[in-house]
Amino acid sequence: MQTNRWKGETYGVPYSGGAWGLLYYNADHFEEVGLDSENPLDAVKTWPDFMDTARQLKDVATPVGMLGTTEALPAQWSGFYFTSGAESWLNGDKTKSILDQDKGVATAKLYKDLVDEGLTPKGTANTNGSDVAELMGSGEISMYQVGSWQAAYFDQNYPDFNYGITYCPRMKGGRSSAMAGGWNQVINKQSENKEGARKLLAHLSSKEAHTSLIPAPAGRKDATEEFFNGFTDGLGREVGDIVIDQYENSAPRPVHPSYPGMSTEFQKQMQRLIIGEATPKEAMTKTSEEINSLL
Amino acid sequence: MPISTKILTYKNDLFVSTRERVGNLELNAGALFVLPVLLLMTAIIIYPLGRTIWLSFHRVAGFTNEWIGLSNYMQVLTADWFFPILQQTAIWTGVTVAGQTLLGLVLALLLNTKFRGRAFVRGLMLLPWVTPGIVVAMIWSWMYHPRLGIINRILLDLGLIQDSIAWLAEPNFALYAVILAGIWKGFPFAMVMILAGLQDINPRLYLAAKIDGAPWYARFYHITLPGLAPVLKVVVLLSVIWTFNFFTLVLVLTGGGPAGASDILPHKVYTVSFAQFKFGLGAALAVILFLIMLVWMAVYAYMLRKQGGEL
Repeated sequence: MQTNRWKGETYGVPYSGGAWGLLYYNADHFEEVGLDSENPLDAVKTWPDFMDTARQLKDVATPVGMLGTTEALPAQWSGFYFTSGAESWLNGDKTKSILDQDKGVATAKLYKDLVDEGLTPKGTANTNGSDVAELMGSGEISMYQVGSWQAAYFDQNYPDFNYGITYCPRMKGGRSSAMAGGWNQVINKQSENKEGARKLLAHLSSKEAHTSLIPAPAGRKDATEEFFNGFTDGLGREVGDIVIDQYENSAPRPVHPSYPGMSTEFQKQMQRLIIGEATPKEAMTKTSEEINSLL
Repeated sequence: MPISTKILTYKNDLFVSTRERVGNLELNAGALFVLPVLLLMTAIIIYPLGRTIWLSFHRVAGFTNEWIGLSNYMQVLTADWFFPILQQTAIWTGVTVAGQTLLGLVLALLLNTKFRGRAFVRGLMLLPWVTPGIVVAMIWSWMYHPRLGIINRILLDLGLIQDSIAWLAEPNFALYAVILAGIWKGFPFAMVMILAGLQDINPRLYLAAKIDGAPWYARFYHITLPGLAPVLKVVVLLSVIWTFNFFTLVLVLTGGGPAGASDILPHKVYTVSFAQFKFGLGAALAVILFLIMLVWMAVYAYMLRKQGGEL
């Protein structure tokens, strides 16, 4: 519901949700370097653990699929960022960006370290989600932080792919979290048939609709729990509780009319970081300056 | 009646005043025939153009439009990204058109010779032109892939590079990688036009030149190029206009990145309008783009006239 509220007013209701903050890993690669693919959490629980595991996997495949372009970049980045304990890109009263503070800079540094150590695919600045999904499914990448929807893609297109799902690596001292996204339903003020639109919206908000129409985590909590009851990863392990835990602890990207401009600047500065034109501090400072000018 | 009070129009070699023209169905028949096309053009060109110009003077927020005068234009012209993107647009247009024209010329000359299967090869050469831009972009995206792409594979196997290159993610290469795809996409137009132009050159000129002992490059410079001049003028004019406005390749291959290194004006119009929802600002940028093209056409026509030619 956070994503439907602006200045104390509610403008819509959730339709489908999603949390960008699950870590998919190649179980075969994990076994190859002596990691326990059935209990992977110790190997990737914190960012330092995640980095150490990535270094071990370097001889087997490209360790981590990080995104460098399109809206998927701030989505994935926020999935890591919110594990720091931060709850937004902005301060409490949404008047200032806090990305240039320790947590934002540390998250940017995580990306920088992964790129600099050669732990991400070459050309990360131009890598999008479908690139990484294809590379992961075909065994070229070992780990990928993304949302629950990716499982269906792997199951359908790479049925022999042994992948596991676990929690997104968190900042040391941080918490389990993810980036909350999804779709919302609204009625246009200009609508000529508001009553009909209301009826449709009411139907689409029912549990029945959410469990039968939406091929993704639903906007309703009861439908989401039902959807993920029995949800398994590529190893056949039940991981629905991980997904729901992440979803319930997730936070959204800034809910603000100027968010598109914030995202554009964020992507540009992160690309500068990835190609070596900016340090993490410089990238986040520049991003914050632009965000502050838009607020 | 003083000339200043008449509006004169031409019909063949006769002057027909507008007053006489109105009401004369025979004279107005032509106007009636083109009226449907004019209405269509008004709907799909003139109205959207007018609306865009109107939007460019407003701040658009949802369904509300606030008049802000020239603010959008000032914001565009003083933005730190404007002149770098303008420069990149000039490079994209100039190098792509030059490449398309040169490649089209070379292939047209080759395809103008007689060999078995010529018709098939000519048809094959049209493939890039008929392939939708989005498909071309996706093909080249995979060709440029740092790990799985064929371009890196060939260059590595030939020993020309030691390590694969992320063509679309390196700021020094990204724009030129897009340009190469643009040359491939657009060369068939130049090729077909030039091929048609070659048919108009009298072959006896070549025969006479050969008899006089002129080598191939002299025949090319003194016969072929002058003979192709009218066609080349049209090819360059149209290719510049189309290439300048064509942003599909940038959108799909690089998104204007990395960090704006391959961004061009039409793509910027798209992202400002439809990714950032700043429709007024995007409209102002679109109008500036339109004015740049108008200036180009005016300068081009002037230069041609100065050389004694016409379009």
